[in-house]
Amino acid sequence: MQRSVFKMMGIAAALLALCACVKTRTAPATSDAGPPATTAPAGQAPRVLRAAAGTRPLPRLKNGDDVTAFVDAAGAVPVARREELRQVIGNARDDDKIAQRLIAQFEDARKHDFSRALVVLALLGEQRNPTGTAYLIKFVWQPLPKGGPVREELGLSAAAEAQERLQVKAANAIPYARTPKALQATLEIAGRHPLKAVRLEAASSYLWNQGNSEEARRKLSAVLRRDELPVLDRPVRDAGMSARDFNRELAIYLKRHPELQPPNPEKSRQQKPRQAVDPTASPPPPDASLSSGQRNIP
Amino acid sequence: MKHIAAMLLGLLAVVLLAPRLAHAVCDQTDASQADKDLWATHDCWQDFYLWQYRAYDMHGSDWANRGWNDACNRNLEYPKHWNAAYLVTYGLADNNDQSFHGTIDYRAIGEARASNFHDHLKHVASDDPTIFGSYSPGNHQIATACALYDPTEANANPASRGGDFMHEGWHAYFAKYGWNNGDVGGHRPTQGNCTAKGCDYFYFHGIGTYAFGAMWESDGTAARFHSPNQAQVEYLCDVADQPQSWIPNSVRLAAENDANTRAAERFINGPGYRCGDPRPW
Repeated sequence: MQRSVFKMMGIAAALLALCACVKTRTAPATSDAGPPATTAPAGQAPRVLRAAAGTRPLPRLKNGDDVTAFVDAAGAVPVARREELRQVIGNARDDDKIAQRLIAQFEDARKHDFSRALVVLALLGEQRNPTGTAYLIKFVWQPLPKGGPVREELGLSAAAEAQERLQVKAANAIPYARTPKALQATLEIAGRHPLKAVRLEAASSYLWNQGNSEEARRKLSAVLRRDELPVLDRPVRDAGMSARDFNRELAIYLKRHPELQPPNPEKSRQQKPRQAVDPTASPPPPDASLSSGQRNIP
Repeated sequence: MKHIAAMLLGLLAVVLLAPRLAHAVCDQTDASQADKDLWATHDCWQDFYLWQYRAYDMHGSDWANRGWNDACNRNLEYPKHWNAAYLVTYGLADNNDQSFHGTIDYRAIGEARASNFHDHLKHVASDDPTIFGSYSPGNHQIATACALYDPTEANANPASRGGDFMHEGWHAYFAKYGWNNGDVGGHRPTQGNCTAKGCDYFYFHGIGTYAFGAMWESDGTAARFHSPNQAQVEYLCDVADQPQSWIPNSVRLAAENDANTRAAERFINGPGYRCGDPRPW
């Protein structure tokens, strides 16, 4: 008798655990029925914060000890101040210690924060230091990690995808050094790297860093795979380029490569009735950056 | 004795298992640098998220334990979701000479409202480790998964998360108008210049081909059409190349890296567009 009571209590406890799990997954607390909430006090208005970021002094980068704080701040610097930041990191070109500390920052960041690792690679590329460039050339050839669940659409694990994407950035950064060694390394990446995205980024970056010259095209043509040759003619939407100029380059590109013309789209067999359009929703909170949504069609 | 052990085991399960399973699988310990940098430009703008949850048709029952009641905790999924929506809503310059499309297009794709772009949809979260996101035509749901929230992941940044709104929102567009883009998760199998498992065509178009707000228009031919990966790449390139002046560089770099990689490996007739010029910073 005592045994069956204990047995039943054990089963009841296990069921209770199961119910508790199911309840917390499917039946939210009452407060979940309302709008999202916070107990944090309201902060400053975005316009005030953005204005402050636009005038805040750039982080200093005088020696290796400044690197951590510099990386912390660099990512947050607004795009309007790109040139200022490029100048600061460019001025450190001959400082091996800064390059070494950037490499250490990258090795650490890639373990826990992909976007920080990307920021550091961009800084290494912009610095053009020989130690940094040598590291990038080594990193770009590291084999992808194996194992882990594979993402359906891409066919790579999360770790492999992250490394591929960092190698794409490394392939972009290497030729900006514009030394014979870096440029030769980029040609080898464009021709022999196992990942298509890395090869194409190397090719595009090599071409741009060589001023889109005929000589650069000839060298790339000799190493690129046949189906990757169109990248040599792909239009680049440079800053300040007019729509007319871009469209002209695009037209030339598509005329030169008729094989890139896609087939017409197809309809599904099953057609479902379309829903009515919802009434106009309330606009987002007002802000100076809210677009009017207008475009002048030429 | 055996039954006492069974009971203790059951009680232990109550204490340990229930709270653990009540939490999402996603990493809630930190946010990516790009998320933090964008967050610092609004410092948890409460008026915005109180608008955003309605605009994206989000509910506490779907985002419980993911920051619904802690909406200023940038380490959690819901705050990361609205951080990405903030970028979509305010982050683009809408440059007449350079932008592929305008804020009005990208907002309409991502937001819930039934429009020329898609039927009414809602945004939910997913713990599925094999996807970035998904669109379910049956219940009109866009699910965003941990791959868009965990900071070690390549797409766990506000630009890529918004890019996924475009991708999945474009599947909703296909569902509305009955376009068939293939059977591999709404894409075509590996072929041509595409090396991914799910591939699209890139329907090249010039700048100004579409008025802002007209991205949904199609003449039923390849001359005026978009695929899901293309909508995503064009959004990411507009973030990378034509952002508002106050957008943090970490966000721009993440957008560019995602777009360029995607353009290289997801298109049968690729590569698609590369964002901007290839200078590293």
